[in-house]
Amino acid sequence: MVKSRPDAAVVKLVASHQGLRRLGRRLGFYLMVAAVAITLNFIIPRLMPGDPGTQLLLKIQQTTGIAPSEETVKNVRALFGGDDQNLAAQYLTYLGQIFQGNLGVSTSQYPTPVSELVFAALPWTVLLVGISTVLAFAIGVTIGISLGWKAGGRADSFFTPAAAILGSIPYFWVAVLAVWFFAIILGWFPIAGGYDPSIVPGFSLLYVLGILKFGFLPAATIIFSTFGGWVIGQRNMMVTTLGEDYILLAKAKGLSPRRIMFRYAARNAILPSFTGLALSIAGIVAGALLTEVVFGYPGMGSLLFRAVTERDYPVMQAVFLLTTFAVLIANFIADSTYALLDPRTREDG
Amino acid sequence: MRNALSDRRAQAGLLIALFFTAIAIFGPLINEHVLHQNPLAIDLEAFGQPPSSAHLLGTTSSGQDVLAQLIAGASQSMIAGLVAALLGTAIAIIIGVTAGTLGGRIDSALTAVTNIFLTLPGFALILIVAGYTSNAGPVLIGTIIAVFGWAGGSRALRAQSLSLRNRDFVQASRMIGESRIRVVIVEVLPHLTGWVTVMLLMGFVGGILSEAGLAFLGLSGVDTVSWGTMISQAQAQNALLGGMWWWFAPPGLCIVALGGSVALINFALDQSYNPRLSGLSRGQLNAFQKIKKRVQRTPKSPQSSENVLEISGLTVEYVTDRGNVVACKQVSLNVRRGEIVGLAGESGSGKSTLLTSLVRLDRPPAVTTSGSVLFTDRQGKTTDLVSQSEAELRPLRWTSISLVLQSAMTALNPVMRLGDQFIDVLQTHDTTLSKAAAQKKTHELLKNVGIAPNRSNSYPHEMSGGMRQRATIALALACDPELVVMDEPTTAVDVVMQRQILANVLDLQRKFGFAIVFVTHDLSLLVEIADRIAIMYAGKIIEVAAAEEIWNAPQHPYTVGLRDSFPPLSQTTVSLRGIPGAPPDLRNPPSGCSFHPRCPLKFDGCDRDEPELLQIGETSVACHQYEGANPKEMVIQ
Repeated sequence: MVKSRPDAAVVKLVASHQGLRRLGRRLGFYLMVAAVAITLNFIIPRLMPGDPGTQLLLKIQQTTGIAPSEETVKNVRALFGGDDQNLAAQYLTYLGQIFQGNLGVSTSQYPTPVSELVFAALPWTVLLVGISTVLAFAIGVTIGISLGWKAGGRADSFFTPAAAILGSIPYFWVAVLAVWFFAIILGWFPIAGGYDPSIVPGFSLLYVLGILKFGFLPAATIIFSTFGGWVIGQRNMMVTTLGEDYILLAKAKGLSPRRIMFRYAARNAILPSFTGLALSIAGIVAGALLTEVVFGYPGMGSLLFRAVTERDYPVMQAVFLLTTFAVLIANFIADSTYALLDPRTREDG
Repeated sequence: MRNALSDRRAQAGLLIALFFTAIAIFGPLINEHVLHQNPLAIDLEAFGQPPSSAHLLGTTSSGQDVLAQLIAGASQSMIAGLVAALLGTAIAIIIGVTAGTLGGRIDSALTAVTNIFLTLPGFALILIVAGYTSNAGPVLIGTIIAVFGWAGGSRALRAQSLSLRNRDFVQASRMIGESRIRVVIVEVLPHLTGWVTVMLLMGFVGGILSEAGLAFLGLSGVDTVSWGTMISQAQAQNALLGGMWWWFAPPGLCIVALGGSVALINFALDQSYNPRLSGLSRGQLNAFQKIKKRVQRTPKSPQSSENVLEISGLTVEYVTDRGNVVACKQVSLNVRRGEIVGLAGESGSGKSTLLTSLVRLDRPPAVTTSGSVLFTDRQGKTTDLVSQSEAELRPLRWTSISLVLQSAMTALNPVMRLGDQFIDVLQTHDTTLSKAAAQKKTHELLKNVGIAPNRSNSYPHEMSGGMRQRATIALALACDPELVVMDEPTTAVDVVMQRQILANVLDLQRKFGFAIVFVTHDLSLLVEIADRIAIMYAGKIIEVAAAEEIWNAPQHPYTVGLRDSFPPLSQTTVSLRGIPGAPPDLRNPPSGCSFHPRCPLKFDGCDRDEPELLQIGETSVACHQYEGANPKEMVIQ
């Protein structure tokens, strides 16, 4: 026993080292996607018809009544193009601006810096999407496990196709119905907003309770619209896993059905769901943005909506950029969880 | 495809989808000539009215007819969905198939691009692009959705064409010099039809949902009517507070109905392409219930207490919706205590089905329909395993009969440490066993097969193939079984390892005295290790004899053919011969003796009557040539 200890430790060290290398590779990939997003953010306004930069400067002049300062002009040109520099030089200036955290000024709420607006909205969305995604995943996966365990049964032949249909219900319509029924007809929840404006913001119990009360319907909407996807994915993986040899052997061993269901089948079948989680976060965020608009929730979705209606390009771009970063971080978390749960360090998840 | 269309859910989906297609095409005509409504006409005298005979679905707060708007909105959704589906799938096919077929650097580059697009939040990207091109029509919206939404499909198609690339028929066409493009069109694309269909359907659903979302945000034109704009206008103009459900409920319902119908078709297609996923059909489940009721629980006594296992009249059928296929027919076989019985046959002979049946683990849709498996333990207590319920069987499992499977890689749980897979079975069958004691026992068991105790901390993927297989053998001995069933336990390892493992098994067998049923297609290997050998053909045992008899004096023409297909172990010159023909299709078995179409000795009547198993000396054989040959020695079992 004593002699065996170092060997086991070495095995563990090597394994965790491989795990780290894999995570390192994923991190590299996400940095690359971030670079692509930053570049797209540079290219898109320059590809668009008309000249967004000039339009912006005009708009600022209309709002303020005076010609924009030299510095403002420089900033707008760096972000939206339209000056005489060649593209490479423009790109460098743009990168410089971005890395200083300078995302320009909002035209609809001139002269508030975009970064101020965006960072005020971001925590709301991260909280809402984070909590509802984790809950929807947990609910969907649990239902999927039990449907897959008894595939072909009565519950399976009803709920599985129902879950497939659930995926085609638009989030924002669910949100509209929820507001109408639970907030207006029943009056159980506030109609709009993210917090109780009559309570001073801070870490007080009342304020937090208010946030929960205001956040309940938006979160429930997102959970309702997304859990069906996890049900189907998990159920199918469960069915596939139940056909594996190690399940046959576990049955032959005379283990209890509970142990086979959870420790052998579900434990293995859940792994691909984590890959699925990483891949669908972008889609969930999209749906959440629309849900926010219906609930007037003070997150990125409402900010984006206002920006789009008022053609506030700097805010639109910043929302895109920051949403992308948030999605990448969430992906990385899902990936790391997967690596923790799967002892095999797979090359391609 | 035909399977999917006979599915009632798919039919319902198809009907709804066709209905909306008709509405999309004839919508303007219906509005003009049937309803006499202009969806955009403002009528300030009839604003916010609930459904009535004049306005079947009521009016908006500007007095526009809701039904006329719904009808006009159908084409917007349809066009966006179609463009998104067709264009997105086209991009996915081009990029995915190119990457998967060409491989190498092109593959790496395209895969990187695909993964980037897959990770980018496409909708946010679509939003800002749509935000710049204000007043986007459905074609433009569909295009944007396709450009940012192809990646998921492309990833799936790449994986598929990559696996096709390595398949024989594609390799063969490449060998004979066909051009790559021709290979792709003729050999690869037809195999991707299922995937492409699924992508088209899901692309369509994604298209109408994204279009509705963009329209809801006010990004489609001001003067176009779409289901998304209807909901957004209803919300903006206080339809919620005003309780005007007829305004905001129907457009959402239309999106759900159209999207859901296509999702249902997709669901049915998916299940018909992966029949394994759908589980058992209603008909199969009913048949199962009937069979379960039929199994009798009459107590049976064994012919001899020397037999650890007596299989008699065991019949296993595969229940399908087109009738049952008999995979094991009236199989009878005894295993004496401490004896090694070999079971040989070609693939498809039913030997694996028999094996799973005798350990009572029929893989659905296989089900044991008659017969008994009597197990007698060391104390002389006999149990008919066939008539036991699952709960009654559980304590008997692994302590009476244990199992070694062909591939240890798939037989061990990949995400559990090796030791834990021993400890759980040890503690299940001995609830008083402490974790430390179970660990100690695990180390002993591993030592028996030459595995160091610290390996119990390893995961299966951290061990070599040979070590894994030895570990599963150690696992099989965990609860001191009286019979170990081995299903080709050495097929997946190399010859040197095969020798080591067999020697190890024989050592352990001598030491602990358990009996073995050894299943393999390799007759020469069986002759070496088994005491007796049973030969299976088309679901029946056709010959049982001592190992040396099977090798030196096979009685059945099939056994003769089987023996002559293997090189002898110690002799030098014998010409190898195969058996002409192929094993029969069990869905449609030959009449009479199932071997007669391939038999060199067949005579009149072989295709008419099924031969019974006859006792000729020490050998049992089922062949018409021995009937009446020596009636005195003939004993029908």
